[in-house]
Amino acid sequence: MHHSRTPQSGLATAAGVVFALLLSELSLRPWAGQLYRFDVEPVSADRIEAPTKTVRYYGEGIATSHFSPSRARLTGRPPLANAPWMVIMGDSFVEALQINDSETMGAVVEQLAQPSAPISVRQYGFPGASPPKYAMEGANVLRLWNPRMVAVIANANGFRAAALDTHWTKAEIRAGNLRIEPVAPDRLTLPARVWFAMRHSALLEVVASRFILDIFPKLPRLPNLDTEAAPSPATVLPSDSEVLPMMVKLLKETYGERLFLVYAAEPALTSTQPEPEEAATLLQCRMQGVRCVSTGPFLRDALTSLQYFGSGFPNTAPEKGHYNAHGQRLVGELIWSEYRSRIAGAAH
Amino acid sequence: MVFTSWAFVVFLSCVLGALALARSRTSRQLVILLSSIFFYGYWNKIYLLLLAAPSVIDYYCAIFIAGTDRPRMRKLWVVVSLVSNLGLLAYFKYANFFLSNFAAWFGRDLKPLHIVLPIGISFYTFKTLSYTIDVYRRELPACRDWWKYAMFVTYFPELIAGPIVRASVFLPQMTRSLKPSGKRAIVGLELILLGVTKKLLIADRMAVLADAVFEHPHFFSPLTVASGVVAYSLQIYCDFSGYSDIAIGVSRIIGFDLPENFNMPYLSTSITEFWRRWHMTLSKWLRDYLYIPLGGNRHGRSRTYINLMMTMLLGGLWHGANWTFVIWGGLHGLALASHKLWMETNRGRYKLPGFVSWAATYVFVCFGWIFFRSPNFKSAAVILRKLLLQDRSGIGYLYLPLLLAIPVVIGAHFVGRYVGNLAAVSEGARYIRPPRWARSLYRDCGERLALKPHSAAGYYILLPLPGFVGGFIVTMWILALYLFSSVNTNPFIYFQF
Repeated sequence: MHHSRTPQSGLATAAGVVFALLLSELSLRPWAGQLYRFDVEPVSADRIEAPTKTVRYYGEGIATSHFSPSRARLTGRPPLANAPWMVIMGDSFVEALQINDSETMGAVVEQLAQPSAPISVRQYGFPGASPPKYAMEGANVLRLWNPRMVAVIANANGFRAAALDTHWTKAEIRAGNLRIEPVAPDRLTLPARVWFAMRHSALLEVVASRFILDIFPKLPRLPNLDTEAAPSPATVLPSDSEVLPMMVKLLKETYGERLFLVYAAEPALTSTQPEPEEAATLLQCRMQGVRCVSTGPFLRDALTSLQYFGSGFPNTAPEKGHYNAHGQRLVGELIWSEYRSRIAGAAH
Repeated sequence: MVFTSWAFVVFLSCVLGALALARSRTSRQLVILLSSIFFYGYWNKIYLLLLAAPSVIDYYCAIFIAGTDRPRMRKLWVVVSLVSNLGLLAYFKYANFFLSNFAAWFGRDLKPLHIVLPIGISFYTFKTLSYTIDVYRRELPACRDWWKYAMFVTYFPELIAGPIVRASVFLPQMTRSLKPSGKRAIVGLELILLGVTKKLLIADRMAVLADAVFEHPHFFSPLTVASGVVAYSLQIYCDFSGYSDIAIGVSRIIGFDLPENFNMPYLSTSITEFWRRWHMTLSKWLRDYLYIPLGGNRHGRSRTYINLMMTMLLGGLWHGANWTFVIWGGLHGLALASHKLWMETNRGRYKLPGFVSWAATYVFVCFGWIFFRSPNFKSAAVILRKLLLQDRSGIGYLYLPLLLAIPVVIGAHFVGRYVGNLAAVSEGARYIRPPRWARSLYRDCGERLALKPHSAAGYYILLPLPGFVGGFIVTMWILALYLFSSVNTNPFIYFQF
């Protein structure tokens, strides 16, 4: 008997496929849950008592993170009554899906501050964002938390000309200053919308996430041709060296003396030389009177003295990608060190 | 065009579509020839000329050899073939190696030549060499249709990285219809799926750790370095055997049966057995065209060992123009000679426990990989110092995919062993008594296609398709491949050889 030619065997095959899909759906349920699974509220609506959202991630490291509905990455500790606030802003380095709450830089600051000068930290990570986004949220952040200090974490990408146009903000240079416009949500492309629509099935969500995040990562950021005009061919991108001073200036104008800029260096195994942007950023900070530090010397020292890798996870290459718990701890220590010196200076 | 790229998927679909539409066997053969030319030209159009050279020279050399009985003329034409093939190989692959060594030895300042290594040159050179030598030895008639011979030389599934298919295996299959069929497609697709899984799910994942450890060993702790070496042993096996599986699978769909290239080499309990299971088409080629012509074991014990060493040193050099490959080959030659000596002197009096033999073989093979993979001797020395705990410094790095891959590979070897045992106890040389749930399928296409394709071909487990179990397994398999495979796929390791 030839099984392949009977309708029963076709049905049996289909049943096997369906059973596999159902089993996968059930198995993936605990793991599904990307950040965008919930409806994100604006930063202006952020509040302490809001219900938390859980995100599980296994792409780089394996971690469970918790967020406020406005994307504030929680530190695993409840805010302290009457303690001052500190705000940390940045891109995916602050979002830190790769590590657990208690390992984030904000959690480290809270832990270090606890014995001497207790503080609560609110940290916002906007993946792929750049200083214009941090500046755009400035008014909200200052109004909501009245922070003692605002630490902005940015890497080389954040200060380049390409960072003027992200999927969060669009910035233009007008008379030597940056003019910022938010990017409307309808700029999301069709694949991204499909992805959102799939969030009720863990399997579909994971399959779509995999496609959009890993296999074809540029897709969600393609301009939506339905709603946006094509960019003018006459538009000339300014140089990186033109943009860097404006980015620093923008942040300084937004946060003033509260600003502390942390340059998130990304050393590699192949080279322990500083990135060119690192020195340029520190120089700009000095010229504009902005307190600034780079993680570069510390990470390079940790690497050459064989102490730890600041990036990389047990399922990715060492010293590549986002900061791991060591890298986050370093940033937390640098922020705490700056904060401590500020409060010591204020006391005198 | 990498087998695991979308470009190849589109290319293969077009080829199979054209084969299905072609009306005659001749037109299908021409489709394959033109596809192969496009496949190679996709990488570099200029180097198509390089591929054309052996296709023309060896074709005529073989005809001239077959056309005369005068020994001197026959020898002359086989020498022309050898010189032209090895000359091209020497220039494109080894010129800069010879130059740099010459410069180093004689203190001269010689600039390296700007030569791009043509991909697959080592493989197709050996393929064409075997053809003229076989004709010279009167083991094979000369091919009288140039385009058929060109099709053999350029045949795209195994053009870049093997298996090294001899003309005596390939050309007789030209009489087949070459029309894709559903049953062949099932077998072929399963092999392709297996190969892609080995490559994307294991090899490319292992490459992450292996690349970091071998390129920068000084950063890592001894344990991490050891895990990097193990990761590389899995990477190179799954990378190369994965490529072979895909090549064999694609050929199955087209209508050709290529010889097996790997037979679970890491189960070997001696280095001799390892070389019977690893890159089998190369080791057989080296045996038939190098070791035996050198005298093999026909001129006494010491000459046998020298021949073994010579064969393996040249085999090492074949892999790459670097002394690290020569050392790797030399180590294996030494091990083969030692094992031979042990077998001849011991004569079965002392027998090591199976596990000890296996462990010693695996550790030795990994030891060899250190030289094979290291970019230079300095890196190899750092790795060895770490492994011997002469240098305990370094950062520990636990790589989870390695811990997941090890049980998967061990499990797959258990399944493979089970199939091998089935083959051993079953009647007939190539017949496998399948499990009851898969027996109908074996009746359908197993005996004719999968189990008795060619005397050189191996054994496969066929998934019970169609059916509930088959549908379930294939769905889970594809999902796992999609969700967990490496996104940044690397070129196959053997492309560089």
